Amino acid sequence: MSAETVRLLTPEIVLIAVAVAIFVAGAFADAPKWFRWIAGAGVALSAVALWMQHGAAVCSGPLTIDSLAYYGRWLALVLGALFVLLTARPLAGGGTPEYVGSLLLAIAGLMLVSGAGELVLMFVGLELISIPTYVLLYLGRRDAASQESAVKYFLLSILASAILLYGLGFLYGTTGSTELGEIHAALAGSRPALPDAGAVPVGFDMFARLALVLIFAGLGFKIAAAPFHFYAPDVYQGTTQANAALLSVVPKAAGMVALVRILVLAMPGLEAFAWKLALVMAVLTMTLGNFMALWQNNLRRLLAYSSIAHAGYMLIGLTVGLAPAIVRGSQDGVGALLFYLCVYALATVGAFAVLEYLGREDAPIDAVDELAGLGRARPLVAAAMSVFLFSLAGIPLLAGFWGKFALFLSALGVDPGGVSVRPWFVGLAIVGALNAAVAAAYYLRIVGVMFFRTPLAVPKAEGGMGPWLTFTVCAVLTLAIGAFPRPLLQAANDASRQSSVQRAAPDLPPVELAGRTGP
Amino acid sequence: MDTIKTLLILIPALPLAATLLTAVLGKRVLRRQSHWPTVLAIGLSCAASLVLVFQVQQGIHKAESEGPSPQVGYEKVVTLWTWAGVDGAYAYSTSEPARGFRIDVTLRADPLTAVMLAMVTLVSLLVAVYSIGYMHDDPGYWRFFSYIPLFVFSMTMLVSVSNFVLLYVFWEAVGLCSYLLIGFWFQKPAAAAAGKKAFLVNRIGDFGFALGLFLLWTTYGTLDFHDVKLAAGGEGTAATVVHHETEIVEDADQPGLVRAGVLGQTMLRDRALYVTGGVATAICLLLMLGACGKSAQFPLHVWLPDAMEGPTPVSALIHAATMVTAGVYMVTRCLPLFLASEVALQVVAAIGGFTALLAALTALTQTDLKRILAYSTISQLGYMFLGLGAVTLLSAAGAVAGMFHLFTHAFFKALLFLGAGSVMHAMGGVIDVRRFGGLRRLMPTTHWTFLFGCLALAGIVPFAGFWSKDLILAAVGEQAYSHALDPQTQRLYYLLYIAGLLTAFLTAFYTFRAFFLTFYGEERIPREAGHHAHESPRSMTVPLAILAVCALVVGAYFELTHGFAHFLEQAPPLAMIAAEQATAEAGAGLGQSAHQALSHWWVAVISSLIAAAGIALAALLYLGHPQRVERLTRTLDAGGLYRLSRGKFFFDEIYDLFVVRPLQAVASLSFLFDRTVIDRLVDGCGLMPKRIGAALRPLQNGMIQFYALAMVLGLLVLLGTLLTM
Amino acid sequence: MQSTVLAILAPILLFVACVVGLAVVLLVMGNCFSPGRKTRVKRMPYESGMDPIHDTRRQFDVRFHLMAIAFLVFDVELLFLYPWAVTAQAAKLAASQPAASAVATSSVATAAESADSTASTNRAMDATVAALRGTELVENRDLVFPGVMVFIALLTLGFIYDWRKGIFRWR
Repeated sequence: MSAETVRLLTPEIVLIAVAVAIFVAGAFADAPKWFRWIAGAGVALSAVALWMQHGAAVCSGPLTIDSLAYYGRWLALVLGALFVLLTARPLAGGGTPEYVGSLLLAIAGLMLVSGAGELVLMFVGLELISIPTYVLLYLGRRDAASQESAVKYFLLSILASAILLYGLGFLYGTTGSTELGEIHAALAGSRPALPDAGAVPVGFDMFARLALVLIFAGLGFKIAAAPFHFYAPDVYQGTTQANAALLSVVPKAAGMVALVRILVLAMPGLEAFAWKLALVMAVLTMTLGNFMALWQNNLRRLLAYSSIAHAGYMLIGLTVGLAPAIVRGSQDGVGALLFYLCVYALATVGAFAVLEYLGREDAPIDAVDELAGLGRARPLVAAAMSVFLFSLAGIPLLAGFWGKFALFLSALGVDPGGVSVRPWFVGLAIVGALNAAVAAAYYLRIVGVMFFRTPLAVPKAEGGMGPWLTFTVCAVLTLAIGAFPRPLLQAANDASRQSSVQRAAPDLPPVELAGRTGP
Repeated sequence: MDTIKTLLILIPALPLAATLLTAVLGKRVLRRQSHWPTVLAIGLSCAASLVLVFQVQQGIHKAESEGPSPQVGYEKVVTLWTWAGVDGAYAYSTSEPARGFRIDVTLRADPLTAVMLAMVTLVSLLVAVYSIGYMHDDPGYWRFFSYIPLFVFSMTMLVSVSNFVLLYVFWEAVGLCSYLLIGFWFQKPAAAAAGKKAFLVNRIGDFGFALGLFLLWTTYGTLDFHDVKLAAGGEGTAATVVHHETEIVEDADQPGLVRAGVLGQTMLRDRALYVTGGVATAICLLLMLGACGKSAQFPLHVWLPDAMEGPTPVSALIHAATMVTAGVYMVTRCLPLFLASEVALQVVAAIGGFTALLAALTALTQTDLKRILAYSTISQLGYMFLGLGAVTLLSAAGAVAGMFHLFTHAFFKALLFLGAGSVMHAMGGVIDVRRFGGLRRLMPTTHWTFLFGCLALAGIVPFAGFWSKDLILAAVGEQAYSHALDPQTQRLYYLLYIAGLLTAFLTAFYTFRAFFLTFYGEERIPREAGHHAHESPRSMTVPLAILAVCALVVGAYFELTHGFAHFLEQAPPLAMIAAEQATAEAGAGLGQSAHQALSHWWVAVISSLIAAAGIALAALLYLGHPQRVERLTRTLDAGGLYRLSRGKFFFDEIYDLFVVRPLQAVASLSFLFDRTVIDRLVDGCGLMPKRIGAALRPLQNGMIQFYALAMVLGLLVLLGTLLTM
Repeated sequence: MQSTVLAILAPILLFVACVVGLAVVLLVMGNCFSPGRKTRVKRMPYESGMDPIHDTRRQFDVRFHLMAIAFLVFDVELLFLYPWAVTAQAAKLAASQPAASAVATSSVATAAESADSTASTNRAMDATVAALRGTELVENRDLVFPGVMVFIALLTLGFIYDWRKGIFRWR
């Protein structure tokens, strides 16, 4: 730890400080409306802090502030702003300061994970997302279903955290370090892992693999990948729209970034095993999510399965990132994943914001049928919802299309030289495309219900200004990225490429290692 | 921007602008004044076309004064922009580098294009002016005047593009305009059906045309007419094509850097580059199929008579003077290709001669004035193809004659149609010749101008039709004479020659039959006419008069001065023949001109006598007692001949029985198959994900213990993979 | 190759084997040598002198949990202060002593000089100091004290929050 580390952590520190202030102030003052403004100001302040420190990639203490970190932290802040807007209405049963504070902590956790270059910090970051999430789930709604979903998430999340921690322990045990850079060096064989042996001894990759599987499983829960996805539909259905949005985006983003950091960037030599694992998980996850979504009538449950399926799509990018490619295609797998993460988050948050806007405090929109005739009753809202659904379905000229396009392109571009592996990736792309076709069925069903059915009862639309602004911003961004995907795609690819420089040359850290002056 | 480039752009661009303007403003702003943009734009286009003709003329003079050059004919090609380009799109074989596919938007100026442009815009202008009066109280006034310039745009582009792909595009575009205008009164079921029929029959021809283009592309690797100058890099790199105005003359000394166009200078100079044999025949016959569709030749001629359901100015413009001649233009343009296959040329001639005779026979007994004219159009187009089919490597006379006939025919046929329109206008929409008569006093201008048209069509000295028709007959006769060594071919051309003469007789007869029935005999006016029964307004009679003058003079003027032939022979396809001819004559040392001149005289005399006989017969029958006609009809009908002609040789019925019905049967069968087999299969595939989802649903049972167990089991399975790898 | 792994893991494996073996031996011995009389009292779930009142699986008042969590937070987390104090002192020492001089001689010298300290504490501290010499912590020792102060301040804020929320009141 050094002054430099503290400086680099300013955005997170700002968020946490504001959160703590809100907690304590909430215990003294009963002014629920104000806390939103304070939280908004906190996010803005954090963004300013993040803007000010933009610069070259830096490793300091447990932090690795590279372009991947910036990408993740900016995504976190944008999501933070959207969530503060989305939950602008004070909670009916009190607890607003706790809710807002927990929200900021979760965002700070996501930022921390993005910048973590060390296992303990990464785990702390992940817990900083999980623990406030339990509170959020509890506070969102106070009925039995909500409590059930909160407890379900709590218990299963703890199980997943335990599995993850077990995996991290094995990783530490194998390589003798918790710093990702050193883990990389140890696994690459350029640094002694244990004092007595040379590098990681031969045969010890068994333990590295064990660690890999456990980490994948633990993080698989965060991203809701099969078979660790079971909580998602139940929890989403039981909780509020805003919480469902948060669950479908923030842990997923953190899990993906952590997977990239650990699996892709820090565990060389295990790719041959890892990509197969990721491939199976990808196929399983997207197929299961899409097939199950076909049956759903509850919107949150449907979107839960949709979020599972999208995790599967994103795993395509991870698979490609892990692929043993001699020639990688024009599109980078991890870059496609990061790009997809962003467009998926916008569309999902937007869709939940629409539902939040349409529902009432005491009667949220639940069933697909409740949207019947929305196209006539509220054409603009229905249009925004269609934009999100089309984007999720991957209809061309919307952001989601470019996301899927980049993912499939990356899978098709893998050329490992030998013939034996390439068909797997082509097959992966084909399965992805088939899944996208299946997925279109349930997205378009909602659109059809909105535009071609006569209204049962016009939704009250009592969500207020906050959700309205949220989905408007999301819709505009989705359309804008659909029209001009290049800047964001460029940013995502840069985030992937500049981070993987470390992987390419493990002995020569390309970045200035500020503060690390060990022997 | 030199003059020619400016003109080539302006000629189509002005009508296009008029279309857009009228389409946008017509309904609300212009309304009754919708004709102004159209008339102005086409007028300016027409002026530009005439200037272009003089520019090309000057260019030819300049080239001639500079002495001999390797240039075949005169052409100037202007590349505007690249429409599409694909590098390495196609390779013949693995040994050859891939070729680039590239479509440039390229316009050309040569005598053939210039003549077509001048003719099209001039006739269009007169028809547009005429339409002001004819359409004056139609509710679709603005719509009409937005279609007309769209057609002019498409047609001018059709004749000025220098690439087969674009030719095809505008070929379709004029077809679309034709469809829109035939069905202009789409409330009438007959009009809607006629539009559909025209479109479908044309699709058959276009299908052949498209196949022809594919074959051209695979054979020659390019679809450009002209040679394209390539920058360094050579074949295969389409992107390296020099992207600016190209004048081929300058590139001639750098043959290595030129990609030979299908009809470009390189190929024209060295005819050995053309593929011969089966492939050449196939290309030509496929192209000819396209031409048959567009130009209403047997067996695809059935759409044109029905197309008369459209407004009469449209019939005059599109279905008589301009669009239907696109096929003739295309075959003329592609003559170098046709010359590579003797069979193809004979097929062209045979189709032309047969169609001419067939249509003339059908026209004899029709009672609808416009349909008589429609059949006569088919017949005259047949003449043109007959002329084109009578081309050899040693004589372009047939092609020149065909084009000349196209040129003169445009004027007198437009005149006849507009005259018929004038009659129809006055008779309140009635067009059946049996229901009116003796109109010569009621409508003197129409009567006189119509007479001019009839004389021209019948081929009476000195009207336009006489000169061009004689040239065609002379060319066919010449062809028969020159094939003395090949009795089979000689027989074919003699047969066609006789068919041509017979058609000339029939033409004169049915033309004057219609004329006498309409304007002579006792004055009869149908009820529908009402207060309309008077001479048409000035805007209609002035174009009639102008066209009548044209019908009188264009033939004689251009034939006697040899202006048309001299000008047109500088068009690259014809100039190639002229060059071959010069070489051959220099080698053989004997002139055929003496014989030619003599045969020309004979043909002129014979055909004039025949035409006069036809007119005389018509006068005998239709100016005399009606009983004579009836007696003759009854005699002929005993052999079924009358009914055959009356029923248009029952082509519609034959097609219905042998083409339409079987197709319908196949369609119903495939519909059934689609419904019962394909749909079931597709539905099954679509249901599968749902089924699988349903099977997985019990997993999601809401029990947290089970979820945790599933997670751990999943983890164990993943760990199990460790053992296998 | 396998041998390398085994060589490194040998102590652990031996330990595991011993543990398992001992457990098995003890269980087997107990089974063999105990009298094994099964009386009613012996078969009761609780035999620590109390009569069982009800089933063990029942709901507790949530306030017990709250209290337990509060205890955990404030009591257990304060345990961090002990390692912190040791490390902070060691860091200070490591910074004050000449770093580059031979470790072996200095350790002898310091052992002789510091007669007032007990020998065992001294050795442990020396080892810590030696380990810390030249590390980040030493270089940034100015941050060590503020850092722990922030930690304590956060705990205090949490305490205030809990107090204010009435956690400590048994309602």
